[in-house]
Parts: sequence; C-alpha cells; structure tokens
Amino acid sequence: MSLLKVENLKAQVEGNDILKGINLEVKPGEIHAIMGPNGSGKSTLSKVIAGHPDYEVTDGNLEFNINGKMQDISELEAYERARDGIFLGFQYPIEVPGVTNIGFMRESFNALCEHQGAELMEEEEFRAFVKTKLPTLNMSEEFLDRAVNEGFSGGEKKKNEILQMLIMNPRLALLDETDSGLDIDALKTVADGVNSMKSKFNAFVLVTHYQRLLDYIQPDFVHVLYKGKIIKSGGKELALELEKKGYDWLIEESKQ
Amino acid sequence: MSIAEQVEKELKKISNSKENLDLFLDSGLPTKKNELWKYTNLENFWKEFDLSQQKVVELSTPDKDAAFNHVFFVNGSFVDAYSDIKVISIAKCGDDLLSFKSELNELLNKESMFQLVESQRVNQYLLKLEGVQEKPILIHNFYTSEHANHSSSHLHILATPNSETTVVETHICDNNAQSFVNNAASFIVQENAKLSFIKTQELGDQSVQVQNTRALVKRDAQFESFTIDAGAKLSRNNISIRLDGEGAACAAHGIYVLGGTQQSDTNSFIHHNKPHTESSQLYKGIMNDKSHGIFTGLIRVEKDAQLINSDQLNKNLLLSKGAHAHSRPQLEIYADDVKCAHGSTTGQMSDEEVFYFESRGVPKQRAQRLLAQAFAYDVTLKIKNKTARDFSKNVLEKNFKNLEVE
Repeated sequence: MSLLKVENLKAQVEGNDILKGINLEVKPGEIHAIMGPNGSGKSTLSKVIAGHPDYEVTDGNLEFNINGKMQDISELEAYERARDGIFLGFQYPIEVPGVTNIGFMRESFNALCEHQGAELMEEEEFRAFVKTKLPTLNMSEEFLDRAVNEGFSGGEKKKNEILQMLIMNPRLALLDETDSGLDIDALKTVADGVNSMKSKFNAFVLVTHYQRLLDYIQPDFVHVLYKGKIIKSGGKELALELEKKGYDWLIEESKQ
Repeated sequence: MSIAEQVEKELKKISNSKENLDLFLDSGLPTKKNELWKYTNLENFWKEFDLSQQKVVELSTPDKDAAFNHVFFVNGSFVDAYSDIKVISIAKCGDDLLSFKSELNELLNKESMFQLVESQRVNQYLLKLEGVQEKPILIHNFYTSEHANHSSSHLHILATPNSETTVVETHICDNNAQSFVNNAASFIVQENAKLSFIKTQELGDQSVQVQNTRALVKRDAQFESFTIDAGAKLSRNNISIRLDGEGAACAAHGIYVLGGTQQSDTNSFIHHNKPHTESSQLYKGIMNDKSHGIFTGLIRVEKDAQLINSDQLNKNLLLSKGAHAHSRPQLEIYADDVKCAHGSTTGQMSDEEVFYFESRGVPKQRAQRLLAQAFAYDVTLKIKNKTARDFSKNVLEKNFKNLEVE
C-alpha cells in the first residue's frame, strides 16, 4: 500500500516549467532522500506536494492515502493537505512577529484536532504536552514563549521545525534542506528528532544537498533530481557515491 | 445661509464662553484648507448632526467587573450613583488646576475642535489621582443620542506627585445610535507620578468622534496614552503632550482597525521642552475594504532640550486594494545633541507568513486574521497593567471577528 504516489508530475511557477515529469512512490515506514544540484527542482517538489499556491501543477498525478484510499490531492488547499497528514519542514522557516511559538503550535495542533473531530486542547494541557518533546531537541521552554522564529539562530529555527513536526505527528514529513546551515551537534539533534518519530505508519522525504545528514538518518531510497526529472534512484550507497564523485558523471550518464 | 453661518448661529445659542467660541469661529470649521485637517473633511457632518447637547438620561444598573474601579458618564454627564470613584465639577474644584491653567492653554490652542469643546463649557470635571493604585480605573462613556445629537465633555485628570494609576476609558453607543462626540481630556502628571491612559472607542458606524487629549508631564513623571479605535465612521484623535521637566517621559501609542468606509485620523504633537526627556510613539493601522487611516506626527525639540531621546513609528497594514493609508512624520529640532528616530511603513500581508500557517493546517482566512491580530497586539502588549491589557485585547478581538480579508 502506498502513502504517496507521484506520476509524471509537471509543475510550473510564474510560467517557468520546474518539474518535468516526476515519478515517485513512497510507502509507510520508508525514508526517501532527494538529492541533486542547485536549481534541479528539489525544493519545488516538496512545495508542490505540500500545496504552495505559487506552484501550478500542469500535468500528471499527485495522490495521497487518505483513510486507506489513494486520493487525488492536487486540488486540495495546503491547509487541507496538512490536516490529512502532510507536513512541510521549511528550508527558511518564516519569522512571525507578534505570534508566540506555543500559540502557533497550539493553533496548528487544534486545527488537526478539529479535523479529526477531537476535543481542542487547552493552553495548559498543550504546554505540558509540548514540554515532553523539548528534551529530544535540546530546546528550553523559553523558546515556547518567544515570537515564532523571531531572533532564532539558523539551528534554532530548524530545531523548531522539527518540534512542530513532532507535535503534529504527520504521516508524511517533507523536510526541505533541514540540514543546511547546521553544525554537527544541531544536525545530530535534528536527526534524533526524526528518528524518534519514525515508525511503520509514517514516511519521510528528505530534500538535502549533502550526504552528511544521511549518516544519522538511514534512507531506504536515494533519488537524484536534475532539471526537473529523477535521473537516478538507488539505495543509500548512491548517496555515498555522490559524495565521492559529485553529480557530473550522473548528468553525463543521463544524457546518453 | 452657508454651512458656516448656520453652525455659527446654532453655536451662539448654546455657547457658554464667547471667548472660546470666537477662537473656534476664527479658526473656522475644519476643512481641507487647514493643513491639520488635510485628509478629513468635517464639513458634511455639520449637516448631519444636531449641535444641541445630548440630554442627561437615567442609566440602568450597570454590570461592574470587580477588577476595576468604575466611573460612569452618560452623554458626557457624570453618574454619581454607580460610580466607585467621584469626579468633581470644575466649578467646585478650587485651586487644584489654577497653577497649570496658562501652560495647559498653550496646548491644542490651534485646534478648532478643542476650542469648540471649550466654548460649550459643559460637563467639565476633575479626577484627582493619589497614591499607588493597583486596581485600574474604568471610565465608561455611554451615548444614547436619539436624533444625531452632539455630546461634549472635558475631563481633567490630575496625577498628584508620586501617584501611580492606570485609567481605561471606553466609548460605547446605545443601540448603534448616531452620535457626534467631541471630547477633551487634559492630564497633568506631576513630579514623579506615573499615569497610563487607555482610550478604547467602539462607537457604531453611524457615529463621529473627535478626541482632544492634552498632557503636561512634569519632572521625572511618566505619561502613557493608548488609543484603540475599533468603531465610528470617523474618528479623529488630537493629542498634544508637553514634556515639561527633566526626566519626564511619555509614550503615545495607538491602533486603528478599520473596515467599510471608516476613517481614522491621528494628529499627534510631542513637545520636548526640557532636557533629558524621552518620548516613544507606535501607531499601527489595519485597513480593510475602502477604509482610510491617517497619521500625522510632529515632534518638536526646543533649543535647550538637549540629550533627549525620541522615537516614532507608524506602520500600516492594508488588507484590500481599496484601502489606503497616509503617514506624515514630522520633526522640528532646535537642539543639537538629541537622538530622534522616526519611520513609517505601509504594506500588505506577507503571503509567505500566510502559507506558513496553511502548511500547518490553518485555513487562509483564519491565518490572515491571526496575523492581523498579531500586528495589532504589538501595541496592546505595551500596556503594563494586565487587567487593562486584557481589556484592550478583548475590545480588539471582538472587532477582529468581523474582519474578512479579501
């Protein structure tokens, strides 16, 4: 049974074709890594799946498993996809002055509760719940009462994305370059967060530049994206090969 | 007969001070020709409203939140029966205000609407604040106008030396009645006193309010003014503060949340008259539909007022294409060793911020409302007293419920 099925997906932003026919199937319990040179369309892929309004799907299928059935989600709003269990970890987390971090997370969490017909969580109960997730990420409670990402360091912003992911407990987490700009300690912490959530019911798609992250999170599949297409898929050994040899040999290979 | 002549005739019947009426008539009805009234034309309103004073009516027993000490006014007139704190009529207040009179009269002296209040000489009261008050004072202003009446009043608040008080003032209209409210509030904040004044205005969209606020802030005293405009088809806030002793500090902050064809016009004047004084201003506007927000802020620093610190910021958030904002920061600095910063921004809501919320399961419209609230709460967060802060937040929250973003 699949969780996500992408078939011949084509998408554009402001009239420019970015994705030119992507095929990808993700099953529960799997971790996929999407790699590739700059401008290959890696971030676009995660944004298109999450439903960013600037990206337009022009062809192909985008299906997600909702209540045991594969359903077309290409027409769903981003918030509906999130409520159905898709989470996007941002490459550049947005600063939201005036909204507290805990307020933002409670808003998100209660949006899910509302969708599932569950009772909304009160402030105190929610705080206690969030506090249980902080030690995994080496975060102090002080982060909860600050404005969302405002004045956070690069590493703190990424940890905050992972915290939100743990709170929302999605079935599919798309992490867009969560590892970029992290020092080795922060990278380990982020990986600990991901590994603590991993189960046979959920899946991860990690968009990354470097093999480094994959030392801490073991991918089942590695895909190389180039000019809007997946030009090579393989196991985790592919990432090691890329680290050694770069992308050029693959690009040459794909031209033949 | 022209509108001006009609108004003059009507006012002569009801005026109690010929001197002030002459000042008002000399400066003329506020029209666009007057630089300070460039964006707000009151001319049409003289036709709509009856200038005779609203009648004093009985107030039915009000609900009183125990977190406040309450003071009640109906149509500008004090209601003794339900009030926890008494105000006294100016006529009976003795010498309390005498020594400040000439200084006070230099403030807002060019403002014709203030002269109009003075020419009425009705509903003039004094509230004297003493000691450190933990409980904030809530001043209720109810208007019951049945046929587009005029309500005028002038409250003097004297914060005696070393006193500390938070005063919240509300303006509410009965059954969305049509009212023309022209008020004045004069503050004297004496040595080392702290006074925080929060005005919330929730008049119906048939009403017009002009609020004239003046303040004299003495040595080491602190005065804060918050204006929260969440109603009325037109509101105009004139605020004039003089920092009149070394170590004096003031803050003048405001938030206006407008929709439909509402208009809010703020005209602030901060006068640094002594060295080592500080002022801070943050005015924020949220404009939807075809509403219009205007901010004009002048900071004047006198020649001898060295080493002052002053900042002013006006930020506007436009939620629809038809909404607009005008912002006019002005500085007049005659001293040479001062720190003054001023700025103004007008923009739309960030799509990326909205998408961040959407990616977390929050629908677009709710995300926009939450972001607009966050924009506004930046101002209310500056209110130090929690009871007063929550009260103000509540007033805004009610208003945001109706805010539909395009």
